[in-house]
Order: sequence, then structure tokens, then C-alpha cells
Amino acid sequence: MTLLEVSGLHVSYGPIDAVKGVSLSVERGDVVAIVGPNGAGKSSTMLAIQGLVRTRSGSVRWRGTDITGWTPERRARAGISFVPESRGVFRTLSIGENLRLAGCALATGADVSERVQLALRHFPALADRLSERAAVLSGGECQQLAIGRALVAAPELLVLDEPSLGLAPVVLDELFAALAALRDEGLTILLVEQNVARAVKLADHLFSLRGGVIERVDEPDELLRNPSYRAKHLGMG
Amino acid sequence: MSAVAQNLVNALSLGSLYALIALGIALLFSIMGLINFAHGELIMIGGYALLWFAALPFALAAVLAVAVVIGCGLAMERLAFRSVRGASGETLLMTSFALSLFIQGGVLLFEGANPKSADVLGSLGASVEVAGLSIGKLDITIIGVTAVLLLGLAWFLRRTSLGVQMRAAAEDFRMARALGVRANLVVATAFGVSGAFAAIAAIFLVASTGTLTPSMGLSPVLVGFVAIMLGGLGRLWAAALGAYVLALLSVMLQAYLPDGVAPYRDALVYLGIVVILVFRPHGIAGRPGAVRV
Amino acid sequence: MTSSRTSVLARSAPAVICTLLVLAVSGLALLGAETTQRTATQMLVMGVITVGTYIFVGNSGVLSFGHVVFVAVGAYATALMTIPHSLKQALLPALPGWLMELELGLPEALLISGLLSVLVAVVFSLLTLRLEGMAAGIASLALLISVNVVINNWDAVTHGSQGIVGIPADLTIGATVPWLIGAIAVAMAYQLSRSGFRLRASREDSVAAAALGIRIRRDRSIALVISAFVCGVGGGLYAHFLGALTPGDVYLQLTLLTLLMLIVGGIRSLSGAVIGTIFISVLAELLRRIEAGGAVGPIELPPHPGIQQLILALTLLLTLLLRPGGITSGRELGFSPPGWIGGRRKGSHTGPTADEPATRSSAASPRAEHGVPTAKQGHPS
Repeated sequence: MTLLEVSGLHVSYGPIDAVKGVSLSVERGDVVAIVGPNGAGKSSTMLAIQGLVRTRSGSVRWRGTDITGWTPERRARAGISFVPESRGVFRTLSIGENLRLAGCALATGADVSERVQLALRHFPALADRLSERAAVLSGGECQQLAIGRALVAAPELLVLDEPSLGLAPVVLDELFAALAALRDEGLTILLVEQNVARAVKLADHLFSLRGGVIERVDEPDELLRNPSYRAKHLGMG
Repeated sequence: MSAVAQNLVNALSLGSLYALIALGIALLFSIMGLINFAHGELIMIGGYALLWFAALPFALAAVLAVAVVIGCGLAMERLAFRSVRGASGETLLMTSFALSLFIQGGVLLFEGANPKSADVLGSLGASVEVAGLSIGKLDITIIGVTAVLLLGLAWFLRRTSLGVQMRAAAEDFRMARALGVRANLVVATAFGVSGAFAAIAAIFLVASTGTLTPSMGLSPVLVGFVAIMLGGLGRLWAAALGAYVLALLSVMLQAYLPDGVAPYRDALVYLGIVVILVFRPHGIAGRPGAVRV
Repeated sequence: MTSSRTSVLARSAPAVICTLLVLAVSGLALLGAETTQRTATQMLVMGVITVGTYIFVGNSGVLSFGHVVFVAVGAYATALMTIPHSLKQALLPALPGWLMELELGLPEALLISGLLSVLVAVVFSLLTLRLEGMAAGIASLALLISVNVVINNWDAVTHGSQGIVGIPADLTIGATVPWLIGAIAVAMAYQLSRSGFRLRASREDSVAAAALGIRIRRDRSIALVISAFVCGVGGGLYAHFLGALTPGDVYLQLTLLTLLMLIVGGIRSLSGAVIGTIFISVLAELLRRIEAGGAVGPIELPPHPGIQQLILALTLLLTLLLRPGGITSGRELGFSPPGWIGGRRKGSHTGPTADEPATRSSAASPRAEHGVPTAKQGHPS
């Protein structure tokens, strides 16, 4: 079934049009990746999906329902978990508190501890550090915490904005292995990624976003092999 | 020696009162970026509420006063501040300034401008002998109740789910919402707790001064601002620290300033704030950027 | 004619229209009763103060409580310079000799008061122009309170909380109008100047403003100094209008009133300052009569003390909540500046969902991608 459907999304910041009529859909169980150069509007699209920026026009549908006017927290409770580019880890809270916090998106009566344990299974390195303040975490650990935290809310869709940003290759291997494992468990993932190779490897469907305009990439592997195909979709570099 | 000790006790009592006021304001600031000028009016209403319910036994009157103030705080949020939630700090300040004068005008209309006397906690007027010092029972009550409230607030923020949500919201409201934290709930709680602190501060204030006027909220709110500036914008416990330091400064200046300069004490304090802001725009202990609860 | 000269003339149109408006209203008032004329005089005086405040607040976008400080300085200075010598001796025996002897005509006293306010402004700006937003607001508030405390206690010079009486209260409409026209002219001139232009540009985009750094601070200082001068003159006029001056006259009520006039009229335009003054003056006078009780037209009302403050504060509140741009919404009479100077286009949704609290750090910010500020910056509009 179609979990997420975005139609004709327009996002502007004053006179700047960041997102110009973006449409895409995400089927349950798929991994959808959006690649594109900086400033293309990728982050804005993700923010709009989570309800964190106002859209000028267009709609977002979740499991068939129009959620365009929904608050961010309502969307989180509906099953969309978002990990922003900056990770959004609360530095003044402990690692455990960060994880448990996401439990507020669960239905009442749900066992938050159980969800935390489940999340920690994917990122075991955090398990014995629950009482430490999140401020001490490295970049890669922050990312793990952010994603782990997103998982605590038992999401149906995980939305990631530039998960690879600022991470060393070794850390990236771990990270994308974790994402692949999540995919194999049936989680639907939508991610924005500058690292084209990783995106191509993980994703079932690939889109490119340039200058606020989205386009389907029919031959993802061509992006890696063919410079002119790459230039067509991604611009320079 | 005992004079110094006596001053210290006064400072502690005054500091507790200031801390209650400052925390009420700081809580809202840390979560909403709002410096609520109208907080003084919450205190004022708390005071007048004690008068309105004076016929009832004190415990009941106090509870009702707290309820009334919390109600006012929630009404403020719903009617005035919700519409300007995303606005700049200055707009919020201006809105709260207008709200403050509006509420004052309302109370002025119904209660008149003349000061009214209120006998609150009169039974605590006496003093007790402790370690050679004569300490007022009221002072002890103020210090004690404040300590309990501070501990209670700390417990709430650290140990309850809602408290953690509020701390998260104080650090990054948008991210908290993205995780599922209900904005309206957090804001309402903040206003509620802020109101409760204001009401209790009002009880102690009226018990200390015995008078009520519609403009009685101005001094406390200014004290609150100063305490927060002193301690550091954005850090809840720094606000409490600033309050105690301010009280200490005040008491010491009062005791030791030469007579000619004494009336200017307040001016010195406020000018001091300006100076502090110039060198440390985020307060003594505050830090730019991340906001701490 | 070169095109730049044409456009300067065209852009001065608001000042001309405002002047005509002022003259029209004054002319009408001159036909009225004594009380009407008195109200009109007060309106003109408030106009000077409001326009003076606008010069800084409207152009820089920095909301300040401190303009009344300059009004206070101007008021007391003018009072001390114009009270007859004999009265001064009786009232303020502790005054230094030269001040005791000093007795000036109103125009000279006003100009000197303006300069004194400038001095205070220079000191204040040296201290505080590094501050932004909230801190600036609080600093200006702290300054206002400090000055109020000083005035209340400096008995030798200000006669403390009892205030100064015996100020020649001979202000007429005819005497005040030139000063308001002058204030409008000064405001217009500054607005058209390079400094004013830069300042308004920084108002729109404070990220760019931060990048321009010192430049903006210098422009702000200039605006503040000019603003202080006009406010000081306004203060002197105010003292002459009142005839007696107490510290409370130049404190929070006046702050509310001037901010009200600015915000209701429209904080971003000179026309807004003028229109707001006229509108609120009429409203305030109406409320004053209701408050005092007695006959308002055919209706007999009992006194309602406090209702003026109530309704005025409510007006400010509603304006901030419902129409922050004020009556003019940043547009000038007779000439609409290009969109980005005059104010935001109505209806455009910018930035994150508006029911966010003013945030400092924002996790999900596309700032890196677009280099534009995402949090709703700036100023009521």
C-alpha cells in the first residue's frame, strides 16, 4: 500500500522558492532515496513532510489521509519518525532520556522500555551508556542515537535527512548496514542522501531533486557509471 | 556577628521570594523564549485573590488563589500568547507589556487605585529564637516552602515523562515536536507551573507587606528580570542563583550603603544590569545558543 | 530633471502629506473650544515624541522602551531652563548658581534639551548597541527604570517625587505645530539618507545585518541620536503643555502611549507614526472623558477610573495580535516604497510553522541549504 504520498509540494522562504511542485510516493516496505546537489530543496521537502515548515501549496497524504494541516507531533504519533540533518539530539538530556522521550509518540499503554530495548538491539553500543549526557557523543554515535530514538516510536516510516553527513567511511558502513537490517525487517525508509553510492545501494527507488524540481531516476546504477547521466540528474559533481 | 547572620537570614528569605518569582519567569522563557512582563500581574491577582477569599479558612483561600492564578496564566496563554508564538523576542515582550497594563487597568477598574490591606498568615508574625538569632516564623516558612518547591520542580523535570518532555522542548522545541511532544501540553504546563509559583510568591509577598495595589506586580517582575539576567538567560537554576545573589546584594547594600546613596540603590542595581548585559549579553552564567533547563 | 531628483521629491511625499494632515487637524481644532484646542496641543506634542521614537524604532526595527528616557531628560531640562528665576529659588534652592540664574525662551531651551538628550543617547548607545533583540529591550527598560529612580531621588534638581511646578504653560497650537513639522521633516530626511536606507535594509534581514556588523551599529547610533534629539524636544514641549512635571509623567504610562501610537499607526512608516498619534489621541481623549464621568455628548456617565488604561492597553494588545503592522502596515501615505523596504507582503507564508515559540536553536533548519534565516526574525509587522 502507499504509505506516503506527496503531491505538488511548494515551499518558499520569502521570495525564494525552495521546493517547486514536488510529487512522490512511498510504498510500504520500500526504501526511497532522494539525491541531489546542495540547496536543491531536499531538506525542505523532508521538513514539509514532517510538518516543520509551512507549505505554500500541495498536499501530503499518509495512508490515504490528508495530513497537510497536521502538527509535527500528530504526524509523529501517526507513525512518521524524522531524523533531521542535525540529528536533533538533546544534549542536555541523557542518552536514556533521549530514547525514552520518543516514547511519547507511542499509543498510551505501550511499553516504552520494551521499545527502547528493541531500538538498542540495532545500536548496542549505546546500551551501557544510558545515563551519560548526550553531549558527549561523537558524530557517528549521535546519528545512532537519533535513529535509535526514532525507532522507539515504532514508526511505519523512517525519514532521514542526510544520514551520512559528516561521518567517516567505517562508521558509514555500520550505519548503512543497520539501515539495511531495518529494511529487511520491513521498515519503510525515505531518505535524502548526498552520498550517491550508498543511496543507490540501499534504495529500491531513486529520485533526484534539482533546483526544487524532482525527477525519477530510472537507472540508478547509471548514476555511478555514466558521468553525463549523472550530470543530467545531479548537475555538476 | 549576629547582625551579619541576621542579614544572611533576611537575604535567604528575600532570596527565596525572589527565586519563586524568577523561576516562574525563567520557566516560560526557557521553553517559549517569552519574557512575560505580565507575570507581575499574575502575582498581583494572586494577592487580590487572597483578599477576595479572605472569609474562608486560610488553607482553602490559598488553594483557591493558586487555582485562580493558574487559570489566569492559562487564559493568558490561550488568548494572548498563542497567536504570537513564533514572533521575535521583542514582539513577545511588547505583547506581554500590553497585557500587563491591560490586566492592571482591569483590576484598577474593579478594585480602585487605593492600596488595600490584607492580613495573611498573621499567625506567623512572631519570631523564634534559633541559635541566638531572632528569626521570624514567616521567614522560616518562606525559606522552607521554597526549598520544597525547588526540590519538587527538580524532581518533576528529571523524573517524570512530562518533565523530560519540557526539558527537551526547552532545548529544541521543534525537534521535540517532531518526536511527538505535544506543544500545547508543554506550553500549558509551563504556564501552569509558572502561575503556581507566582501565586505562592504572592502569598508570601502579601504576608510580608500586608498591602495590595493594582501596580504591585511591577517591582516583583523587575526583580525577576534582574535575577534572571544576573544568573543567565535560559538556565533555570541560574535564575534561582541570580535571585539569591540579588537578594544578598540588596540586603547588603541596604545595610552598608551610606545614607546619601541609599535611595539610589535600585538605580544602581538596574544600571548594573545594563553593564552586565553589555559584557555578558547572556547573563553571568548563561551561554549563547543552547538553552538549559 | 534627473531621475534621482524626481524620485527624492516623490519619496518626500509622505512628509508633505503628513504635514498637510497635521495642519488640517490643527486648523480644525483652532475652530473648537478651549478644551479641544488643549487636546490638539497635546496631540501635537505627542506627535513630536512619537515621530522622534519612530526615527529609531521604525527604521532600525529594534523595539525599545528607552525613548521616554530622552523625553524625561528633555522635559526636566526645559523645565529648569524656562521656569522664572524667582520660582526656581523658592522651589529648588539647592540648584547650582548658574542654573538658578538661567532663564531662556522656549525655543532655545528646547534645542538645548535636545542636545542634552543626545548626550544621554551617546552614552547609552556606547553601552548597548551591541545588544540584540530581547537583551536590548531589557536594557532599555532597565535604563528607563534607573532614570526614573534618579529623578525620584535627586531632590535638589528635580524636586524628587513631588515634581516641578510653575512651568510656563503657555503652549498653543500655533507654537507647537512648527516643531511637529520640523520633526516630520527631520524624520523624512533621515529616512531618505544613506544611513537610514541602510538601517531599513538591515531591519528586513538581520542575518545580513549581522554580517555588516559595525556599519549597522554606526547607523543605529546615528538613528538613536537623532531620535533622542527629537524626543528631547518633545519632552520639553510636554513639560510646557503640562505646566507641572512629576516623575510619573515620563515613565510607564507615557511609554505605553507612545508605543501604542507607533504600533497602532504602523511602526514601519512615518505616516504610521503620524496617523497613529492622531488616532490614539482622539481615542485617549474620548476614554479620558469616559473615565472622568460627566457628559459625553448626550450621555451622562459615572466616573470609571482605570478604563482609559484598560482600553488603551487592550488596543495595543489587539493590534499586536491581530494586525501587527498597524493601520498603515508599513506603507507610506502618497508613496509606497518597494516591497522589501515598506514591509512584508501580506499573505506570504515564510519560515517554519507559525505556532512555534521563538526558538534559538533549531534542529530541523534548512539554513545550511539556503542561507536565509528560518526563524521568524524581526519585528512586529
